[in-house]
Amino acid sequence: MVGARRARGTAATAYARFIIRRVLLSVLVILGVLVIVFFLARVIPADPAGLWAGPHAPPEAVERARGELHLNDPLWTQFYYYIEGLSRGDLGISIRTHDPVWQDIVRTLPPTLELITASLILSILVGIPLGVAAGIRQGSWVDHGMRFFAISGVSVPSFWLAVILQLLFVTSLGLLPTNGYVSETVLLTYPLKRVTGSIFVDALTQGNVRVLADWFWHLILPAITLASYPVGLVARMVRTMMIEVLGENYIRTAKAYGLPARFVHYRYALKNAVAPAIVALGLSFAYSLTGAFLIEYIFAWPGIGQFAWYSSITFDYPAILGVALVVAIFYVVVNLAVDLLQAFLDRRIVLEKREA
Amino acid sequence: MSLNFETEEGTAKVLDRVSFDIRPGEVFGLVGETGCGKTVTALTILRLLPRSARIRSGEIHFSGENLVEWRDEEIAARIRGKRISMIFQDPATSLNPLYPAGEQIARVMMVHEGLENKQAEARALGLLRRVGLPDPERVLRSYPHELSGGMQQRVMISMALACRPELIIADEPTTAVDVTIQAQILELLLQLKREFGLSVLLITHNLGIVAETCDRVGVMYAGTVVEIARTEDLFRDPSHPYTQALLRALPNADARGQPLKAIPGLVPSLLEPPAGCRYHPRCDFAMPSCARRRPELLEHRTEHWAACLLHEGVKE
Amino acid sequence: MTAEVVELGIPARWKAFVNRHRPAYNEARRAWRLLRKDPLAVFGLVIVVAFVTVALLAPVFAPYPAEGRGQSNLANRLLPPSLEHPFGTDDFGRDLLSRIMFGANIELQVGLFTVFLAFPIGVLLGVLAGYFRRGIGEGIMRVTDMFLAFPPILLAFVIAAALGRGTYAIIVAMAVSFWPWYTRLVHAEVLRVRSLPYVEAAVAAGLPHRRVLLKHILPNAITPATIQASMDIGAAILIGSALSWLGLGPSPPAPDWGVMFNNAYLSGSLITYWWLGVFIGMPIFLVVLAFNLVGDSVREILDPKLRRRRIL
Repeated sequence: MVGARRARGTAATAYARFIIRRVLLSVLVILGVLVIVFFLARVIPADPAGLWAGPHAPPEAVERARGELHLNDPLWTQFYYYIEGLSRGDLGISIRTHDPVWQDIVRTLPPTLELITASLILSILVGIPLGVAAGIRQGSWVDHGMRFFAISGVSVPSFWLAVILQLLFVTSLGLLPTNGYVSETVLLTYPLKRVTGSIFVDALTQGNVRVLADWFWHLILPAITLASYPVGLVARMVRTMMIEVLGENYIRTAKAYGLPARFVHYRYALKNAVAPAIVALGLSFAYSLTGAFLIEYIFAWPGIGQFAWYSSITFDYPAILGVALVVAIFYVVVNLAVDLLQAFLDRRIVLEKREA
Repeated sequence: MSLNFETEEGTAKVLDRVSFDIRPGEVFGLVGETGCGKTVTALTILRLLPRSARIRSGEIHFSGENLVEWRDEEIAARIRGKRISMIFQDPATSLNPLYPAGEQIARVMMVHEGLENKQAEARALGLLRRVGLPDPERVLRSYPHELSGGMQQRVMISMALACRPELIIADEPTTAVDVTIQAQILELLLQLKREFGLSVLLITHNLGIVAETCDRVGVMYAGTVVEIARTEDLFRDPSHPYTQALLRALPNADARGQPLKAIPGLVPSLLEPPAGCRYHPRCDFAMPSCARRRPELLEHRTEHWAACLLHEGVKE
Repeated sequence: MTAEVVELGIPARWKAFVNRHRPAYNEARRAWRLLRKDPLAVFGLVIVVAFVTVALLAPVFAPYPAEGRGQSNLANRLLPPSLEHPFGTDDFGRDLLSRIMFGANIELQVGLFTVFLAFPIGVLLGVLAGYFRRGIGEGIMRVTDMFLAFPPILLAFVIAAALGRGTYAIIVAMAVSFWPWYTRLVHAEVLRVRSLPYVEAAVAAGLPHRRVLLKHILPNAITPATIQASMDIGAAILIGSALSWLGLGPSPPAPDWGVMFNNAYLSGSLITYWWLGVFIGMPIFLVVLAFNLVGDSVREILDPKLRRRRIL
């Protein structure tokens, strides 16, 4: 237990060392991921050159394509070319769309970001209060009900939930659109200038309320479906932490000094409980990216998930690699952010994490 | 006061007719082995027990009021931290690690006396100085894990004093602290007692501390009070067999080389306590009646109570 | 002593075993008692038992076993739920309820085999990593981190795609995705356990590495991983059905739930023939839910910090 005085400087250096170590680790992980995906992709039986040239291409065109794509070179050379391209910011050309991969990615990333952000907000707004309420009343029916709800969220197959929600809200109640991003008719009636790739940002900045509302309407079902897993995860994590914290001595002290129950629960206890919950939130945020893949396909949401899906079934290597890279970077950045946030919230982590 | 716990295995009769009184301005020591119910007694006074605890019978009189009848919110608002404060055994875990020490002290005053942030912090600073901390401004801003054990305990004491309580319950205040600091803390408690005119309920298993600091002592065994007396009387002439055995069991530097006189047997389970006197299975003087009748706590000498059939004149 | 025990019959051997591990046995008894009291856990257990029973005895329970196995009955195509067909029929006229029952077998295989494959590998690596911290340990953990950085579904998808279609491809792919979790869990536990006094004592007494690992460290470090494994049976079924739905599962007419859902989905008629969507996905949900409920309750019971608040 650190009891002696520590000058300001040492705390800062410990912090800096901590950050640097985490960053280096992250870079290593990204590299590793790239290697794995690269070689994995090469193992898949298919002929990228043939796909590139097109279904009706004569054999010479295919051969030429093969040369262009460096497919005749040994694997390591191909990898080298790839990394070299990366350093220039070149992710290659998508075999399917014949556009630069980075362009495809930039185009499809914003809708996905909209979706996962919506899911994140949902999981915070729904998950945390549920978890707190259950943690305070452990063993009661509120607790059981919430646990059932949360574990259901974690257990439900997203493709099934999507169908159920569609059946419910689209067919029976007729409330929401089946799928899609934004309805064409609305776009025609209320034209929108597409500046960023994101309808949300564009509509918001241009004050186009109709399109914004339509977008939102389309967002609801996919966001709920996507959020089912994180909500369950966060609620359970918050509940567990609340129970643990409420058993701690300092909560007993707070009660012993007559601090009102509401304060003790929602300020004192929650602040202590929230740190691991943030970790869960961050991780589920990263995970929701994968969940988004399935959901974008089902709901025809034009995000990177849909792009990845079509790339995989057409064995579009550059695209697949590009997506993998983006996903890995995203994961790593989120993990890093979570670590830093955690350390910020609780200075003790910085000291404890000295040993990897 | 009788208290039961509902546990997984059944009803534990944790406190059975515990009874004692604390006089203004005195230090009352509550001694006993671990698990004999001393801490539970203290927590009962402040109603800090979990929901599985049920008060079966009894009263807690404080300044003329019976606290047992009060509702939880009333106790929280008017007693806890305000008129009765408690200091816990392990200051390291008893302070919230995510808030600075000063804020935790100030919080008590803000809740009970409605002070503003700045006022409360100023008074907290004064309290920290009063408990003998050399650099109160720094401690005010520090987080608990940045302070040493002794400093943490002093912070707890400041918190306890914040609203000028009439009674401080100190639950093993020195157990988690170095021996050298122990003496300082105890001395501090006595000083504060004199200066603020408060009473102290000192809970400990350490008879040495009791001898040094307490005016009167109560001895507990397995959830019952077996003896109450003035400190000198207790050490000089213990009335209850358990007290006698306790004192005999203390290591004596003069009796070097001789075996220690432990008390044979084990502390009974509170789920199935012995019938009659709870100590009788281990008592040297046990008589057949001891298994049948539970002895009352009687004042068999001036200011000296004991719960033993021997002092009721029972012979068998 | 051992010789005597061997001569006695099985009941006596069991008693001796229990006596040697009395604390763990009592703990297990206690856990079972508490588990029975938790409504969620009971619900989950009932479903798990039902699932396993149906999976093993589908031919007995299914109202139309032949159709369950794949025989079409085109006269009855796409009938809504009725008394003869409680779940309706699919687009080959097969009774959906029977199909689902036969599918349970496949799902059970998927769930169990994935865990049976991933668990030993993961635990072994975790123990090694935790015990031999420098060198091997660091290496193992770095590789584990790399695998963990990758979302399991994606990884499984890529591997399964590489391996071709089929149940076993999915199992292997998921096993490869799952093992890092056990490694991390076990690694953390081993680090905690190895600093406990009695382990230090064992090492100081000169016990060989293997013995220390097997008898002292492993039994204590394995609990969180075991709980995770029990829940992962459910997770494997979930992810496995997702992979099947994506097209990587066994070919029809195998009654794999994910594949069946895929067929129904791709036929585009899930709105009109709603019973297909609802009833094929429901068992997946219920089974996964059941495993998770039980695992969660067990974890809560075994975790000392989560026990009902005591004083002190």
